[in-house]
Amino acid sequence: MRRLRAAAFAACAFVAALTVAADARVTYDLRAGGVSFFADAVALVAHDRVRIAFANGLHAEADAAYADLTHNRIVLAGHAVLQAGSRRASGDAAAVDLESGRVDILDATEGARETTLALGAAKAVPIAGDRFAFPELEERRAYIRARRAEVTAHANVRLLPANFPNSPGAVPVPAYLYTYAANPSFGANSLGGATFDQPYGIFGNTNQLLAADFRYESGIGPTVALQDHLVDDDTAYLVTSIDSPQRADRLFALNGYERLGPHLSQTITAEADHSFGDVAYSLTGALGRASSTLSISIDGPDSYEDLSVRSPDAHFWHGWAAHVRADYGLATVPGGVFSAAPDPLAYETAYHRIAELYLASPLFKLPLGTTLQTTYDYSRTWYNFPTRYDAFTGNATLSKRLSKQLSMIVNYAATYDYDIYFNGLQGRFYPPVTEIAPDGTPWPGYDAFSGASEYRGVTASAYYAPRPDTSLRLTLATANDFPQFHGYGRAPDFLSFDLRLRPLPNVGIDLGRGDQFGWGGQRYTEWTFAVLP
Amino acid sequence: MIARALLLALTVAASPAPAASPPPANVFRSVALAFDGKRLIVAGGGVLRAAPACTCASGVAGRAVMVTLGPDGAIVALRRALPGEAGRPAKDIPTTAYVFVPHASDDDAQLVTVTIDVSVPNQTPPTDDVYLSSERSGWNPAEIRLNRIDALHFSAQLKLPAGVRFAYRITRGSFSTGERDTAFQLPPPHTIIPAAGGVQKITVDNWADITN
Repeated sequence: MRRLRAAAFAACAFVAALTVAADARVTYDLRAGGVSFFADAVALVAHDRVRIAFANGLHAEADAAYADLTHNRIVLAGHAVLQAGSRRASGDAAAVDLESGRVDILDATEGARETTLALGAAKAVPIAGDRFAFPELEERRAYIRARRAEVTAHANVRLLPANFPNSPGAVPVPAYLYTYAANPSFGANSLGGATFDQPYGIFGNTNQLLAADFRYESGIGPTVALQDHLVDDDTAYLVTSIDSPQRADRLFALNGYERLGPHLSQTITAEADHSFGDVAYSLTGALGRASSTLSISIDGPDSYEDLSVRSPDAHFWHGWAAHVRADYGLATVPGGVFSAAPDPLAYETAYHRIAELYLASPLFKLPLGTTLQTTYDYSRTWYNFPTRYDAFTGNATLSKRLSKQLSMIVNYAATYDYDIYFNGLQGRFYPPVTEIAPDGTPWPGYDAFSGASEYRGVTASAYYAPRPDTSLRLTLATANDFPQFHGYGRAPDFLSFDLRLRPLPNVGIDLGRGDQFGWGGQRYTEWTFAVLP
Repeated sequence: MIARALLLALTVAASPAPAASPPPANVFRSVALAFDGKRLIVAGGGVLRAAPACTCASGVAGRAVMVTLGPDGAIVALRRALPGEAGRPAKDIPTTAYVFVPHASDDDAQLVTVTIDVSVPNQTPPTDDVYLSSERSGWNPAEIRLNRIDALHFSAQLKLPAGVRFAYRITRGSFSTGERDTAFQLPPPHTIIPAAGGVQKITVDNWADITN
């Protein structure tokens, strides 16, 4: 445990140190009376005495500037002056392309001339319209307003100080690092769920990002976490974090992925605090057209190993598809995997085998423009103990698109599980117990539960999207399960909505709530609310 | 409470965009790059001349402006544009009005609507939402919820800056429920160069968390 914690801490510290060291490569530093950042266009617009210091020694000044961060180019507007050492160039406007190193200077009376970032000899050229593009972004409302922007090309922009004029509830901060790096692995996370989580970037470049997450966690309240991303194209990422470092039960976690070859990858996740630790490793690869996963996990004193092989989908008869899966694994639990067994210590290590058959229908086209698709999944698990576990799930999904903006989906799902113990052991594992429901009342009917459960439900959803960036989902679900009583299990009736709006180009809102009609004494679920960039 | 919220939501969602009156034929809207009292450089690098009697504002560099051209192509009025004020795009300015004509002007990174159609694998849980995650949000895995079309298809219309490469991935709301390729490996992001009316059809081969 102590070693695991120390290793997690060392990994966090190491990655954080790397990040800080790598952060020095700011491509240019832009200062002005006002700098606006537009997240949807990934661009800056600066006004009032714009000054830019480039990492290569070039300095620029102008009345206004537009910086296209995606293409790494800048347009200087009004009284543009560039200086590189003793060389100086000026014009009414200038276009600086940091990718190609080309600089175009435009004079209203003489036309355009082309030079380089070193401001060498210039030659007259036709005016290249694309190089002088200056989109009208002001009306799209800035996501962040600042007076200074430090841009690391293809990675991030640090805005100082950062105000969020169109983000309700966002507090101004001395600096805000916005990452626009093209690597999707920056979306990986090693922190647990939270009611609210607002990350603030601290340091970063194209491959790294260290952020502080301001969070509200259930049971803890307001807290902070540090999380670091280390990414390498689509081949690897390592995310390390410390949640609530100010608390004694601070949680260290890591989440890593590495692609070992075109068809083979490994992942690792781990977390530890002062009282527990767990680590999970998996190796996923293709065996011909089949796929396989070898996973190993250690959770405190318990350990689990598993090898799963799944066949590719076989298509047959009018588009039906099927595949099979075989799984072999073992679990080691001190004290016994089957704690209710007569001799639990004889089964501190238990083996299991799983066989699974999955069948999916094609999408049937039915009258009135409706479609229907069904799936069936059956699995059986055997152990080296007189027990067996059977599970069957069937799904039928009916859909109809009423217009381009409105579609209706109805799903019927039925799952039947049966946990069977032989040799008269069923009663040991499922003894008659009078359960106390969440509302405090006893429910003797639970005595009837002896390992066989069923979950049946119908979910009807309407999706309404009247325009891009606006969508409403309304869902009515009914569930008829066993066991299910007085707040135990799924609510028999549940109505919910989720609305997504983008009232401003750079600000989206996600709002939702549900009504479970008094199930377990509870009427409404908590509001869900998120502000999206 | 829910009914009130839904009513508000539907009202906001369904409210029509305000109608715009057509702009005068000789009034153009663009961003000014520079104006020295005699000549105006508009976004895209074109240079226009001001008439001697021009009613022209100064200090317009980097600002949206309304440019009124006289019969001879000279600017007779120049002022800062008001929010939402309509004007013809700068690309409609007659070539004859320019002192210096730009080549291949692209002065307006306008927003265009593109459609992303997503096919998902059979094993996709029927009641799960499917999301689009992009660099636009720092790869927030639940950035844009797609609309379910049927059991195996989702769709979304996005407003994106024209011509600017857009990279994205598909998830079921978290990074750990993201898409995987046929060998269950992390695939490169999908990319699109947005153009008006563009449609991109993609297929999710597998989900990271569903291996059965």
